[in-house]
Amino acid sequence: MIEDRMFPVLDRLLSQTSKRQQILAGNVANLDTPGYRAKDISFAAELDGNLDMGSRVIEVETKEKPNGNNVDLDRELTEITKNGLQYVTLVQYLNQKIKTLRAAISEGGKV
Amino acid sequence: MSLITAMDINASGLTAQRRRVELSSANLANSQTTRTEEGGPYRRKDIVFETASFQDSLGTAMSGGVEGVHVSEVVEDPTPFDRRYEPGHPDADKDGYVSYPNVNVMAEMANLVSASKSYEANISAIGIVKAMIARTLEIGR
Repeated sequence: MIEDRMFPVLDRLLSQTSKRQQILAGNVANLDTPGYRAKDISFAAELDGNLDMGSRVIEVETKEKPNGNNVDLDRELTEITKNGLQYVTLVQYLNQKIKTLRAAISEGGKV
Repeated sequence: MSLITAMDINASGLTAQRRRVELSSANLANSQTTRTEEGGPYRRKDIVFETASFQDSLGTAMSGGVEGVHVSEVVEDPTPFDRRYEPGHPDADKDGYVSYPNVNVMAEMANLVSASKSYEANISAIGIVKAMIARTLEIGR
């Protein structure tokens, strides 16, 4: 149980989510930078296979403004909110795992 | 911690947008200024944004296209001055025309609104990162 395989997976997912937050933050910061292309991390592509999640940054295909910048503010803020919620969900799940583990440790001694 | 970096990146956006508001305000304030230190009327200033690469907490440059923003330069708008016929004005030339700054008040107002909208977007992103960090501290509680 202590060697629960979910812990490394959760660990990596949390790192990926915070890495994605950085990328999305960069998009919002560069909202008015001429020629800037919006970036993102592709999660689906990384979750297949043996959960070996290297980060892969992709360019977002949104409509370009006249100054060559294609950051869509509504999309970015929605994605940032979703990413934040995903992070909170992962932490919640991790906490539940730890709670279960803790119960197993303490209740086991009360036989 | 990488979430702190996300906050720093949004903070770079705040700094850049605030600088833009400052410049726009200066343009508005000087929209009728006919005398400057360099001589002649005030020339409208414009701001140039550029992506800035970011360093993580260990000082190594971040890979994977994590970029903030910074103000690369402030440039003067080369468009011609607005010439108005005011022969009684002390700065009028021999034909009675006064050169007024090339500041378009409407355009500056639109610029101000756009800058403050971008500023707010960065603020809300920071708010979300703050909530994420607060949650991280609850792991194992």
